[in-house]
Amino acid sequence: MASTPTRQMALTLFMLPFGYHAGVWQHPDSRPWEVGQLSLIKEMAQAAERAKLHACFFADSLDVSSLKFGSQRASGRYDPIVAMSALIGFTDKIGLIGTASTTFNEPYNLARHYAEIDILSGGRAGWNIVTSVAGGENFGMADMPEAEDRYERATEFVDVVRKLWLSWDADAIIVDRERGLWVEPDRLHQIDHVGKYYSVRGPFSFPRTPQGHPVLVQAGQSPAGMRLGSAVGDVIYTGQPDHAKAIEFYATYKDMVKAGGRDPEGVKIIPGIMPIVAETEAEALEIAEDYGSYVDPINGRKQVEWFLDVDTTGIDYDEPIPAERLGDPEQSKTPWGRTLGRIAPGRTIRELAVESSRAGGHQWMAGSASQIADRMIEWFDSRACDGFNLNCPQVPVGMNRVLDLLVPELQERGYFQTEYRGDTLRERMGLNPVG
Amino acid sequence: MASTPNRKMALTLFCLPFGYHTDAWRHPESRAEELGHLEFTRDIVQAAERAKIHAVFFADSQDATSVRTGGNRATGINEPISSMGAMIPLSEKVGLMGTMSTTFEEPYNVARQLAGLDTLSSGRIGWNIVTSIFGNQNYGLARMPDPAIRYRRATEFVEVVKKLWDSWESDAVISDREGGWWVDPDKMHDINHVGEFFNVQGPLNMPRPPQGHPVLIQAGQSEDGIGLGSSVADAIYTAQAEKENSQAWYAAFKAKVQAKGRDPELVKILPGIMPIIGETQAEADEIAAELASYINPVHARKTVERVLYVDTSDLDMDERVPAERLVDSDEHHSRWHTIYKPMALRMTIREMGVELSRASGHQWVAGTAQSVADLMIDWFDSRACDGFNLNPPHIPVGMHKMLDLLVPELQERGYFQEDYRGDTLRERMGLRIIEPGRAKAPTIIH
Repeated sequence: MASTPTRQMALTLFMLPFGYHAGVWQHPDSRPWEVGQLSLIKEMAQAAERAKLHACFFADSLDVSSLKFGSQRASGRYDPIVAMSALIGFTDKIGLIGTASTTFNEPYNLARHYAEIDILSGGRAGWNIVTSVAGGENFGMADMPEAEDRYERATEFVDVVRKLWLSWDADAIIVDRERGLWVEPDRLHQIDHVGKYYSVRGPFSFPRTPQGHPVLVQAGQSPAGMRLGSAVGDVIYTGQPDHAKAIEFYATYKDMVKAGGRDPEGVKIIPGIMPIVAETEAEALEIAEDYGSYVDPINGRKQVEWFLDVDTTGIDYDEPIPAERLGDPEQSKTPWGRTLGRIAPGRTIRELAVESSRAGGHQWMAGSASQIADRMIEWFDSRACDGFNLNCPQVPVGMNRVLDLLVPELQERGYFQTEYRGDTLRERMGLNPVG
Repeated sequence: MASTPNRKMALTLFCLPFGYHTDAWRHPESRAEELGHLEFTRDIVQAAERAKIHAVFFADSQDATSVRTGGNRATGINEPISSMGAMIPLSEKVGLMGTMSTTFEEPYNVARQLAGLDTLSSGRIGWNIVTSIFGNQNYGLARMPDPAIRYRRATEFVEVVKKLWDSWESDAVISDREGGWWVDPDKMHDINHVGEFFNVQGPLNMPRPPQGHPVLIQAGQSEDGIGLGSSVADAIYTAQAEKENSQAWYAAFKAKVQAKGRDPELVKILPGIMPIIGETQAEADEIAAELASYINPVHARKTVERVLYVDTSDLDMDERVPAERLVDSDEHHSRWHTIYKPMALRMTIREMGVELSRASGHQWVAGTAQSVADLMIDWFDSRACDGFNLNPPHIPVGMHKMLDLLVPELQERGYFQEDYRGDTLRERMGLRIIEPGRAKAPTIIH
């Protein structure tokens, strides 16, 4: 074994009970009847905590367009606030991170949900800040606002939320029975925020939370998203299928963090990875093949059409899409649409459907625990990342292989914690303290 | 013992960790250091479940004015959605009811969070629909919208939420591995709601919840509030300090429910009551006096000013507010007209401060378990109510006296359940049963 590494990875579990690999919910090992129920997420969170993962992460979506074409990968079957709060009592130390949209919420309401979860969980809450790319039809919007407007709103939204979280001094609660003062009123401050989108007077209706305030997570890779994330994010999720590009992204991002006056070591950049792991490489490849066979040709075709915004009528599933039907990939409406568009020329619809089902814009790899650990450590040591968001291909069997084979391998090599250290998620992940 | 009564009470517990009696947290045995913490809230919920109370109710407020002025009763120290969620693994059968405001929320978010909670709790969730009277300054509103507008919005809001809950058929989740469909897309329906306040396409992004619709609770006593409650609510919270008034109100409300084609027996009217229980009447009176001694006069004055919308800084605590300052306005909360103004006309500021600290428009009583049970049964048998929302005067001591002495007395006399019956909150409270979501795997018969 090499010398002990000086840094350790941050690892989080993507809570996707259908499994990250499209179609594998149809696998006999999957438990689709339990999706949306408490039993499956309880089992996932407890397994992640046994493996000492830093946090479990609930993404979200506010519409059902993916369900309508048979794709189950998209989140949304659990409201993250509800799911995180329900898991508090089933877990002890693992962080609980959930997505909430700045486009479809009020800052005062959202600040309260996360503050309450942080208090009830003893400092384990994280908010993944998103601006949403879909769902406006359920909130009275004829069209989604432009990305620029969404990020401008998000920036002000986060500003308001943080002001609210900090509007009680840390020592505001005095419980002075003699004088009859539960709080010292002078230690509650109005925020008097007046901005382009929000006017919020405050103060907040909650005390300062155990972490100072909940951990902030951000995932936007557009320039506007990076500006917001580098200014306020404690944890950055990112889709990086390519090692060299990830190194470049990491360096740029950390520079931006530093330029903003924050310690870049206290901000963790965490790309997603889907590890298909088994005792041997041969077995892992077999499993990957097996998972790939669950990609339904009809739904696979629909997904390719949706991501590439292309009509494939009349083209055989095992034929490539003619170049003249493919638009400019850089104009795609989603990051994965851009990536898929770039590799589309010359590939059959089936190949694109399987690739899309495996990766979804992230890295994927099939191999033994040792092989996948090598890859992860290479990325980590070369400063392509500070850890990973684990996209488990299948739940629960595929997830348990990740947690029972791969994570112990990283622990044995000294790259991942064998015990939680610290009292809050912020401390356990080595994030910058608040204020 | 008399013959077995043919109706039983519905009882819910107002979860107010400060204690319902203002400043009761100053009691030496309060757990004021732990307010809002998981363990304290858990202990309250588990105590309610041991007593077989139907549900625990989390009220809410979206502003810190009251906590700053010492009126801790109104503090939203438990955010209802997350608090209910956190109680799911820590309780089994007790219902969990929470307030959410139709003025400050979006119907899609509310529909989803309540449906999600109902699913994760196997059908134990209720929503107390409020339109809010404070909090506008935290939502970019120069003033609260007029009550008429708030209620029009609330009515449409509830309609949208119900449509969203109905947007997945009960058997929409088919988990068809062969065909590759987790949900049958033909069993998810757009709602295409277009209204005065909301345009919502739908469908919801999660299956129909186990109760079909989580239980709906309403508490408005204005004409608009009664209109909404009698149209949609399963349970009605109401402030009724006098039995005769309550009987009249009960009869009028149930008649409205019936006129709308709904079964009045399936809608439960639950006034609040704060029972200060002692082993003897003398002990109960002593506790009441002790609790009154905790009232901070500065806070009491501010509370009086807040509910009356007046300034009293030039008045002595032992003076009354001059009648000319009590100016009627449509913007005032209904309780201003029905409770606070009449109170101000007959009480000094100090007396009103004590009264508000105890009652706030609800009934309060100090007595033994037997005498308080007598009173509650009298109200119940004379159709002044279908049960009560129990306001614990102080916690934990006063709450335990209520749950450990008063509730068993009601059980012994046959007026309250000795165990839960039914699989969901709707069934346990005897409310209307709505086609449930069927998210669990069906039994496969080979």
